[in-house]
Amino acid sequence: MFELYEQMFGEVGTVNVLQKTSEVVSEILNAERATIYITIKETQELKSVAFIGNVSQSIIIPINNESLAGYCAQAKRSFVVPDAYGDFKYLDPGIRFDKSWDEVNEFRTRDVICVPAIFKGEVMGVVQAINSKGDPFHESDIIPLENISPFIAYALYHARLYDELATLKGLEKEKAEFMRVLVHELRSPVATSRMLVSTVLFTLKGDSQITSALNKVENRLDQLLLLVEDILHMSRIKSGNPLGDISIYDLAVETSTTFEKYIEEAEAKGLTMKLELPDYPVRIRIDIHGYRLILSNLISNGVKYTSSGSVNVSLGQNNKWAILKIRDTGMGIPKNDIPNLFTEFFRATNARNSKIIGTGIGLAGVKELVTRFGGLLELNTEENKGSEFIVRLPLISKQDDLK
Amino acid sequence: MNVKKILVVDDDVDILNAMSTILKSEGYYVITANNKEEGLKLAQDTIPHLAILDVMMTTRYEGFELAEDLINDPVCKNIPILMHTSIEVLITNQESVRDMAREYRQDPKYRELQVILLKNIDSGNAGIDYRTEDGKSVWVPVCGFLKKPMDPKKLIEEVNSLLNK
Repeated sequence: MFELYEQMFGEVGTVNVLQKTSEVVSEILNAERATIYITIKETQELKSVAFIGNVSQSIIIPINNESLAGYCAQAKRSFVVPDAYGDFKYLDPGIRFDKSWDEVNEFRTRDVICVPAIFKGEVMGVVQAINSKGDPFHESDIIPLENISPFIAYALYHARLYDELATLKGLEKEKAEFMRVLVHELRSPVATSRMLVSTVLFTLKGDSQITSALNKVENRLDQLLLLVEDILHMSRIKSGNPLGDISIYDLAVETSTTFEKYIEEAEAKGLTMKLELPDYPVRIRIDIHGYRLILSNLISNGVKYTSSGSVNVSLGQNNKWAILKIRDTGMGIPKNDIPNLFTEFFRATNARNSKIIGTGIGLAGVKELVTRFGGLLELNTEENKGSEFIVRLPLISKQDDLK
Repeated sequence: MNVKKILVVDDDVDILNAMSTILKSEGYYVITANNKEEGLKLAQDTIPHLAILDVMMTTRYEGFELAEDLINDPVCKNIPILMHTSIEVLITNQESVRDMAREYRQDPKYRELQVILLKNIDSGNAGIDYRTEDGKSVWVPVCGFLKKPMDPKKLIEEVNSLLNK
């Protein structure tokens, strides 16, 4: 996503935009110095970076009438001040010129021009130019500057967005990396313990009391491993990065491949598995690994929570949606649990009371993915009768098809 | 009867002990090593019928490097190798697993993957494509993978099928 943005607009962070736009402004006005300020909404301040040779200097001033640029942003008003050290109370009785920049840079500001850069009614920043000598600014300079200020405002708006995206991207990467390390660190001792227990069980033949206790330890460790792996999956889904390949796929083919993986497990439990596919391809543009996760979660739940009867999977489409249905004759979901069903770590009361291992992460992930793909998730269920999950995913439009 | 020798290399003593116990109970002769150097030396000295290698030891890809060393060693090159790992194995039905790995490498979606483990579901051909610290992509053909946490029954199944072919 961020890479795409960079591809489209280049590296358009605040610093770059401030530098480029200030160059343009000083050229247009033939001014000695031009400074573009960007508004920092949270602190009600203006920020700029001044470039003097190769040195960049950060300037932050509050939005109030203690400086000319601050007043410009506050009053949303363009003006020319012919003598910065003179009297310009006609603009506003409280307004002042901030001499600190002059003092630091050994500059003697004579005349100043200020124009607010406004985008959608919001002051994105201020365009300011100053001279110490040469031709002074005129009131007539305000018009050309006001003509380009909306573009500058738009560039500043973009720069802010870009910086936000860049920060988010950084945070997201950090978080994903943290999760990866955490899950790996968690997984490895559990996996080793699990292996040791199964080794002891393998070599130890006889004492039924010990073996039964060890079997229980083994089951608990499996549960823990499953949880750790589910969290890993969920953190991958949450990171928003594509899980697999995003392209146009025939869901009929994908559905059948995933379906087949559960036949053995279902038959071992004595369940009937049925798959109904249309005789035409169901084509959608999708992150294919995401689709596989949706489908495998729903089928494996069906198989897991059904003790007798069947698990049926069907795929079809209408003019707008690909429609996937997974119906089982399992324990169903109690009415009171339905509102929380798609919340992370929530498990239906009857599932919790059963001996079946689960984490309550699967359905939360399914919901998250279906929503991300622009689809709808529907559930029909009755306790002790069974459940039916219906997933609708948008078909590709004719236009997409031509691409 | 000719007793078959199996070399197990892992830096975790618990895993070495567990594997030894199981494999010995199946009548195999087991030798163990804790790192790449020791493993290579033992392999050259004893020429085992099979080597089972852990991946992450002192260094991140030590097991892969050892596999490479074995394959490139004139004495050890024919020793079948089983990789013991918790990394997900990608299953393919493409004839050449190496070509498949190359395809994955070219796909931008998999650009950030450091390691690709591949196994052909029909022929059993398998291999590892991993990226070294300096960004080079290395291909190591192996005989198969053993998923962590190791399950005694699966270990025996896998080892028996490789050694009693």
